[in-house]
Amino acid sequence: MKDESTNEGRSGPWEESVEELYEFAPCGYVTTSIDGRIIKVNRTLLDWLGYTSDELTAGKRFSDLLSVGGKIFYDTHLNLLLRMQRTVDEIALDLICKSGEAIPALINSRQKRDSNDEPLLNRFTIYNATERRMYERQLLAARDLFQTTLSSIADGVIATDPAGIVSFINPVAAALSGWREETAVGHLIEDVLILVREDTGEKIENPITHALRTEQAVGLENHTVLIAKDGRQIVVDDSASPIRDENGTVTGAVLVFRDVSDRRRTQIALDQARDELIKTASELKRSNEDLSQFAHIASHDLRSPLNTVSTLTELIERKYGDKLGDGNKLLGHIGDANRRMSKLIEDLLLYATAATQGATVVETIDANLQLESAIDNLQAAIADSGAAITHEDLPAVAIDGTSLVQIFQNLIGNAIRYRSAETPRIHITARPMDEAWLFSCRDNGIGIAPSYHAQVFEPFKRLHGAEIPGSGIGLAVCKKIIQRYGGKIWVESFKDEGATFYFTIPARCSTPAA
Amino acid sequence: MNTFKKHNIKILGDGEKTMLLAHGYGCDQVMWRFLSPAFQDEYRVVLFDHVGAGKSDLSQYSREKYGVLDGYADDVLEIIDAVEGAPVVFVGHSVSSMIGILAANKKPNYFSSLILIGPSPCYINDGEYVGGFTRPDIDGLLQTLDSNHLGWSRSMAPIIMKNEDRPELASELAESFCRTDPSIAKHFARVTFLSDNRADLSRLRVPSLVMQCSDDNIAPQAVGEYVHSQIAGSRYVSLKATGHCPHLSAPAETILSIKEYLERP
Repeated sequence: MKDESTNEGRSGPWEESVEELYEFAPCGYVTTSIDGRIIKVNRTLLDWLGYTSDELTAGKRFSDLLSVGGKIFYDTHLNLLLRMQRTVDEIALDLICKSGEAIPALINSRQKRDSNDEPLLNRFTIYNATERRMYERQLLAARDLFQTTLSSIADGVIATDPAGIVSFINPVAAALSGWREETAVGHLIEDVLILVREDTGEKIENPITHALRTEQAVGLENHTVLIAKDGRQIVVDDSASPIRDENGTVTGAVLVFRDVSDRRRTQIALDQARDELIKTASELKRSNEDLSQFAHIASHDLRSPLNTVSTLTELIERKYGDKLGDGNKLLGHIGDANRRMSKLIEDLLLYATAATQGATVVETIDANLQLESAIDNLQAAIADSGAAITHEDLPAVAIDGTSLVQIFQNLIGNAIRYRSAETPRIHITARPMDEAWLFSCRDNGIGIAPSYHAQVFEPFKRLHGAEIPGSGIGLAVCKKIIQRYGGKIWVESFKDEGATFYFTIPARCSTPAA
Repeated sequence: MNTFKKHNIKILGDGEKTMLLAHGYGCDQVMWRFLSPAFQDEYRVVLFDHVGAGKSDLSQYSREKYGVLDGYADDVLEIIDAVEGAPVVFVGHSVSSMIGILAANKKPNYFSSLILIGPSPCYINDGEYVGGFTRPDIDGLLQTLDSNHLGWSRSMAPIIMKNEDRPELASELAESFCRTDPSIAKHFARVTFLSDNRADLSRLRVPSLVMQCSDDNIAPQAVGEYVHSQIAGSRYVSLKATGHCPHLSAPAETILSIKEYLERP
């Protein structure tokens, strides 16, 4: 070839022969007979493939130059398409060089026909597409990754174009909405995904439409119900964002949503349970307050006629005592009954207030000191009975001091009151148990038959008659107090074998139960 | 479900006997264009598209049903029922020749004869048996399909469907030929080229003609001879036509061979 730079005038470099153009064109040319045998090949293609012209035109077919997959494609698609429509463009196939190396190629083809439309020969142009094929493979891999990712995630995903027409819907979104993937594509998002408010059933603006209109992401919308194509109602959480290209132009929107029906059901059940609990607690509080108030009023109202009876009895005794003779004895009985009645009222009030009183315990107290106070208060009874009271070293516990004195006093008082023929021996211990202390108060008294163990803690239940004094309120008060601190009280005993009362008291401070 | 719509069934001619033409892998009923006119005088020629191909109802495609050739064989029997054509002359190209054999093994009385164009019961080499391909070859085909469906998208489907009602767009109609949903095309390719129905050949009791092209890349001569040897009483004809589609490349020779067989089976 001539040096292009020195050529000027009419015999310039554009004067190129058709032959040379064919042979050295920047693409490969192949002509084949209708049955595929190669008739003519240009030099460019021969150079690429490493064959001589003779090697290819001595009976080789065009499909022989293709990879095996390509051969099948040629015989099942390309050759048929050519026969049907004369022209087939942009077919991607691999050509195999003499060396065995593959050249990814893009192939255009034409079929030449005679005047009767009978095929004469096929022409192919072949472009080297190595780079492009690599790029396509990367694109395909990216698409596959995108598809498998969005098909695998548990959330529904729908993408639309800027007009809100669905361009992609993943299987979860299809299943939730009741649409088939292939039918949903091409429809308006507002038709595919119908969302209403949970409370009013009113249709709401689709988050995609909102995101497209405002060009802003739409956050989670609570209490949204999806009406599926088949009428199912599904509570969903959703969020939508506009999709922007690299220039920031909105090219569509994507909606991500999930079925929260289960979560919603659990939430509703929890809310209901909580509301019921609050209601019950406040009813309980009011009922306790009513009870306390009732006890105060009752004790006051009951005391005043009692006082009148007492005053009148004393007046009768003073004025007419010398004239009554045996009647004085009866007056004495009236006085006794009056005092018992007064004590009953006092105990009733004590029991009623035990249920509601009790400040928050802010510091623990030494149980040894409370036991001493109780023993002090019982001095007379102890001296009368000759009772021997022993105890281990007791811990510090989280309880109001007066309450603990009351408990000890009741238990020791009972142990003395219900003593056997033996001299009373009473022993008090404490053992750690979980977050609490387990106290015991053991005696050698008359004991309690097991069938009465539960009854003894009920108010005004007495197992004995007037031969043993007592109002029957002591253990009931103990139980009330201990329950307020979340503890328990019980008795282990058999008749004539003494009794051991157990109770638990928290070791650490906390707010007592309401 | 309407079988006619499902398979885009077309009936040409009004002969007493029915001829059912079943297209092979890759295309649709359009491939019979040069062959069907030759039989319309004597036969009622029934054309159809396999589900997933041509203008069949794509919504009927199921990976489960069409995961084996048996699914297609059931469709063939359904079509014969729908056109009330039994017993038919069944002409099957490529994979459809095997589909025809499976259908004829299920209901032999639905078929008077089978014309098998380029049949292969198994495309993959297996020990002594030479099918012509290896497993990696088929993976290569699937890759080729991937590369050539880049431009295909679902948005084309409505355009293709629309053209059906507008014959003036015949050229565009031709554009739709051989175009199908890429995922279905790949699945059908896998099911076709990985099938092994060698055991079904010897069970065939319907008279049959094996038509073998020269230089067929897809079903080499050895495979055609194997099919002939396995089907008792079958006839074998070797065509001068080359390639895999003699009904397209050499319709006259193909028609003549079929007619000769049908006249003197």
